[in-house]
Amino acid sequence: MAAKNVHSRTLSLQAKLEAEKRNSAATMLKVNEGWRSILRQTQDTELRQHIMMLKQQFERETDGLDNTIENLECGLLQKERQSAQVRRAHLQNVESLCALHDKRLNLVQEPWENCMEHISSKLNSQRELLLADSQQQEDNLEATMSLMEDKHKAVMEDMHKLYSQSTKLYEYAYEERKEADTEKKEESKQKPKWEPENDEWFRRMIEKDTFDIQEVNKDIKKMMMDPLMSRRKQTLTKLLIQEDVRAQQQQEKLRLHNQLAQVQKDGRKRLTNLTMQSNNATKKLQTVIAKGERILLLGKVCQTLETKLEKASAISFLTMEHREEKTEPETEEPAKKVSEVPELHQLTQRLNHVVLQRDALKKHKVELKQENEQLKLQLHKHLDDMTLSNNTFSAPDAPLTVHQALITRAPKTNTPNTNTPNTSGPNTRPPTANTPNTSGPNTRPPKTNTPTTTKM
Amino acid sequence: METSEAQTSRADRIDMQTTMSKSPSSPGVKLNPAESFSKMRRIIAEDPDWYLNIVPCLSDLCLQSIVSNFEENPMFEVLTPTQKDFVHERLSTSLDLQVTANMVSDGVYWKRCCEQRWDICDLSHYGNSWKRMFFERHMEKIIELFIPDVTQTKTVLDMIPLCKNYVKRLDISQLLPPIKEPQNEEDECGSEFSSDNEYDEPSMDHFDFNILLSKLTNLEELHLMYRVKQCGMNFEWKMFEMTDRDCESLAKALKSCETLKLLRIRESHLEDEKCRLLVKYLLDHPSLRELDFSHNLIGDRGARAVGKLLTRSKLEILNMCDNNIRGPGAKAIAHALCKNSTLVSLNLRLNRLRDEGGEALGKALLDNNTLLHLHLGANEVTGPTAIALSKVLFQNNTLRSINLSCNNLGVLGGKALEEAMSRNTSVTECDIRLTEVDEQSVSYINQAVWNNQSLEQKKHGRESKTK
Repeated sequence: MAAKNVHSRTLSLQAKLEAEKRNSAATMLKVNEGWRSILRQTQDTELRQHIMMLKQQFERETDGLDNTIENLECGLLQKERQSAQVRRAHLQNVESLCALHDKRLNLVQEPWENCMEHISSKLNSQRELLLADSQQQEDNLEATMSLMEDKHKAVMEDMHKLYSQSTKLYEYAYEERKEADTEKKEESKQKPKWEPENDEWFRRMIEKDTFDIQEVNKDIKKMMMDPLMSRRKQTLTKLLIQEDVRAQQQQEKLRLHNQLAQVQKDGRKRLTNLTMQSNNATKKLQTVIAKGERILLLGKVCQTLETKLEKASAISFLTMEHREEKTEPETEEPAKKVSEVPELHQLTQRLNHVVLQRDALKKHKVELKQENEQLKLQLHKHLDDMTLSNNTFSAPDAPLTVHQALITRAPKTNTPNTNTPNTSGPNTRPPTANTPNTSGPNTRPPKTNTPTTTKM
Repeated sequence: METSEAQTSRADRIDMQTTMSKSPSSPGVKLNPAESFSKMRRIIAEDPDWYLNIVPCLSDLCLQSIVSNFEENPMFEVLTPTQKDFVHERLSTSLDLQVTANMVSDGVYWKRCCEQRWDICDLSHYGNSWKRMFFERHMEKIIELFIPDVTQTKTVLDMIPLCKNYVKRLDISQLLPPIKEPQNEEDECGSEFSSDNEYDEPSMDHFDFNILLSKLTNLEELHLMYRVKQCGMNFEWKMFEMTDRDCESLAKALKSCETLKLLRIRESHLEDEKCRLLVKYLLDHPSLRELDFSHNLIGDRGARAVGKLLTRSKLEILNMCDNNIRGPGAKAIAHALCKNSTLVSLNLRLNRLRDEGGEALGKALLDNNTLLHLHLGANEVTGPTAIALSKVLFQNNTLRSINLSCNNLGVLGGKALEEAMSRNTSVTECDIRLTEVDEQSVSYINQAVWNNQSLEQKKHGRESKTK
């Protein structure tokens, strides 16, 4: 029982324990809840205050951040704006610089292009000129070439002709020489030295030719003997020999030509000398002839004079002799008068006669002058009267010519004896032909009278 | 006075000559070194125009007095050409422009003025006219240094009647904004009193062209850049932008200028709205021939406006390089091209046309017969565009130069272009650098282009010969 009681007590105690535990738990819960509620109530306000504080704090921070963000934004915008502005300004400046550069380039390019065009045009013109010149030169060259070729051909033909002629001549001469040689050999005994040079020269020529001919003959024989290989050599040698022969013949031709030329030159020289001499001779003869003619003329004049003298004085036979003798002394110069005495006498007589005549003539001349002056005065008076009456009828320049009619004029005479060329005859030829009236009553034909007046 | 001085100096010189004295440093003596060579010691002439023997004649003296008194009594028209040359040489370059501008004709005087003021003078850029160079650069300077609300507009207005006959082109490379006074933080607090010291709204953001353009009766070209060149540490993005007010005033000014042929507004931050505004005022402009809105921010809407402008004006050259035009914008321009018959050169380089825009342009060009130059470089255009353009090249006879550089055309595109170029006879410039086209195609296309070039040269030669 006790165990049961204990057991029951323990059970009950346990149940009580559990109940108390439950109760305590419940009360604990209640206590906790109560505690929590009290705590809540007390901490509520604190927490709320906390929240408020934190809120404000966070707000402040957000505000601060917002402000910074805004500032940054503004700054960014401004920077962007600034950079845009700078960029724009830079762009505008660069564009203006480019424009200036282009302007400068254009300014510089124009003269450069002009210069280039100028130079290129110059070069082109020069090129064309040069081309034209070169073409002309080519044409000229071609023409000259053709001419030269023609000339060459002609010369060659001439050469050939000459060669043939010379060969022919040579052969002919050779044959002649042969004949001459044979003749010479015959005559050589008589005349050993007849043109020895030519003889030797001919002999040499003959020897050479015979030698050549012998050689040619030998070659021909050789050719005949050796037809094959030797022929070539022989032909070559033949050609060579022929060429040599031709050369020699050409040389001979040249020599002949030279000789001919020399001979011709000599002949020409002689001809020229002859002509010169003949010219001189002819000239001299002509001068002599002229002199002779002059002398003849003089003689004729003297004759006339002397005939006149004869009429004046009676010295006819003397004049005949004088004429013959005059010509001789006059041609021989007056210095030879002394050589022949009778002629001198006659001459001196004549001279005296002539001198006396001259003196008489001078006196007569003086007298005539005086008469002329007197007559002039008379004429003046007479003619004044005449002109006063004639002025009404004649030309207006009449009075001038009256005075001019009295002016003396020198008549032209060829006589050697006249010493006074100026004559003052009463009848002078008026220079104008306007006044036949004034000079009418006083005129005699002047030409015929003047010699009579002087020689009176 | 002058003559007596000359006489005394001449007397001195005569004395020196006769006595052969060697006093080198007498200050008053003027010697012409060309005349006294060996026997005298050399003295550098002070007046190179001084002559011993020649007394200046009365006309020279009169001209000298004219030159010295030009301000009080200007007379130029009455002079003979040689006298005018004398005056050109001698007239002082610092004379007031009021006096000289309309009096003194084009010549050496203006050359002297230009060279005194500026170092580099490229005469060919200004039509070989020194006067034009002077006045254009002077005007440009005035406008570039014009500070709104500080500089008086009177300075500009006074200048206009003097230079309006000579100014044909204005190349303005900066436009200054109004001066901004430094703001204090206290003033930002919107107190009434502070509004006076605060940044006052200026009357104009940049120079107002309304006062100028209508009065310049010979103006043919206007180049504008809304930027500041030497801002240093005071950099602000606003200095490099064109404001709406500026745009409006400029647009009105452009409308009033009736002789303008070329308008160029570069690097001025021009967006769609501003572009539309400008185009609105440029529609039916009587003389505008060339429009250049490059290096701006024009997008599709602006491109559409420009397309509208193409149909309603006589534009010959359009340059929209380095903008933001995409496919739709290109389509608008292409649509305008179909009907247009005046445009000769189109430059859409450095945009974002892509194949959409490229193909649209290609289709439009099938109908167009006047376009000579097309530039589509760096537009992210690929093979299909090349194929479209090659279709154009088959039949088109007027297109002279095409530029598709820096686009990824690929081998297929290259082959299409090659086939097209074999049949084409008018294209003398085809730029396909950096397009990743096959080398064979490149060489083939180059050959075709060279053939076309030689053909054209022969044509030119024949034409010149016939002329």
